[in-house]
Amino acid sequence: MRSGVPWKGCAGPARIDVTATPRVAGTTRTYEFSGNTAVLGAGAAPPEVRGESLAGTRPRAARVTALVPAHNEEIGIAQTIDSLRRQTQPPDRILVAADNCTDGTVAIARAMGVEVIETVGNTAKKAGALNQGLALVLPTLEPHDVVLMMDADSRLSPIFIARGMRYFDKHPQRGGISGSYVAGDHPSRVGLLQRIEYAQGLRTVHRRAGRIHVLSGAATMFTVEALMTVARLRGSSLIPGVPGQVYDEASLTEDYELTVALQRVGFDPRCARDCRVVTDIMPTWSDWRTQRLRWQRGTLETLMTYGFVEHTRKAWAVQAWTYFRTLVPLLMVAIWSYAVAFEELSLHLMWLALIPVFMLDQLLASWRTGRRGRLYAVVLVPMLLYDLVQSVVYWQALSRALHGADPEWIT
Amino acid sequence: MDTAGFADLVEPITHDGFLAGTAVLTTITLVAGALAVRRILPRNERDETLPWTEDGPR
Repeated sequence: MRSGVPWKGCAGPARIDVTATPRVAGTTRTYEFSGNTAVLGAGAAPPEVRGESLAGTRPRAARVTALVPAHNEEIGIAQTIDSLRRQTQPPDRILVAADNCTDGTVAIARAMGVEVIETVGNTAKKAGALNQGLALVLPTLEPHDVVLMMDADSRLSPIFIARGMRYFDKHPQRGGISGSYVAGDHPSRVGLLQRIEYAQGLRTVHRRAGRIHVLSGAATMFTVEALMTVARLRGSSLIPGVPGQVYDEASLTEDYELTVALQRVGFDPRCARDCRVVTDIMPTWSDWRTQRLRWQRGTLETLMTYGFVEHTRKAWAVQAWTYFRTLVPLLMVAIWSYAVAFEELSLHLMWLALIPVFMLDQLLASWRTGRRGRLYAVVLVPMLLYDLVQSVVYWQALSRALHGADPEWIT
Repeated sequence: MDTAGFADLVEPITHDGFLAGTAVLTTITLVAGALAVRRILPRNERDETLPWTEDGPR
């Protein structure tokens, strides 16, 4: 499901009532499900949360369930399912959560032999569809099992799941492993600029040992333990939301909100260099603006919801720097105008020595984007203009976040 | 106060503002340059729990 596609919900809450009793390490654990919620039964805290280890007591190897939320994704859903089927370690179960689809998404998915659920009364768009899908799959899983959440316009590299499972084997407290997102090819200029932007952002993430701002909605693997812990602690002083729901349905950026939530409850999610996922980009400037408005506004609203706490301090600093940076071009124009009008101009050539440094930086950061991408990046101006346009969107997002305007979704 | 008098009055203030703005821009340029150099230099933070470090960076 492309982030930001329109979701037409019906009035009234969804009702998916399930009760399951999976056995974990000799303990009967009851999950109670109601609507979009999944709540751990009273008195059955996960062993890890109680400080115990599951090592040596696991009844079986971890299972992987792929959950694909989709709204009118008939163009991409077949490729998405195909990429799941081509995994060196294919998922044990593939479930498409079709949300108010009016095209051929459901028919295509069923024809390809995967399970399809159609959401009922969902008004919470992607987060609601994911919650309804999770309410069905989580009761069948054990804490060390894994759920792969991926968009229906994304394709995984064949080793994605196998490599992701290695991460969890090595360090279960990761909680979530995000794919390394790569922008799909698109002939438009805005597509190329996004491709450069994605590549540069990903390089930064990889240089920081996979520490990532947001676990990508394009494809991220979660342990059931992590999802259940978040669901159980929602509504507490640690994380906001409705108790029992994995995703916060009030958030415009449910993937970012879940990333912060995981960190707040003690997990250390990362981005995996070798789990690659190719995702479609916004094909027009109009779609791009709508998407970025939602992303930025969702980020700001999430930070405002959590406040200035341990796991958001760095994000607040990043936002402060982001908005400060948007003012630099204005300052430059003001200073240069004043200098031309009232001061004696003098150019020190030593400053020109910085330009090759910036060009080399851009070239290296965009190396994986192909010859055209490298060319666009190395001449600096296109990405400067891209940042300038994005700055305007950031201020619009801030204004809407502060004024509580109606959110925009891509049509 | 005539126009020339007003200009003489505000000139020191705007000039000081210009110098301050120039200083800010110079600082930002230097910081941006330093960050660019840092990004150019090789860096791969090691974390023993990350699988790709077992086989070396790919």
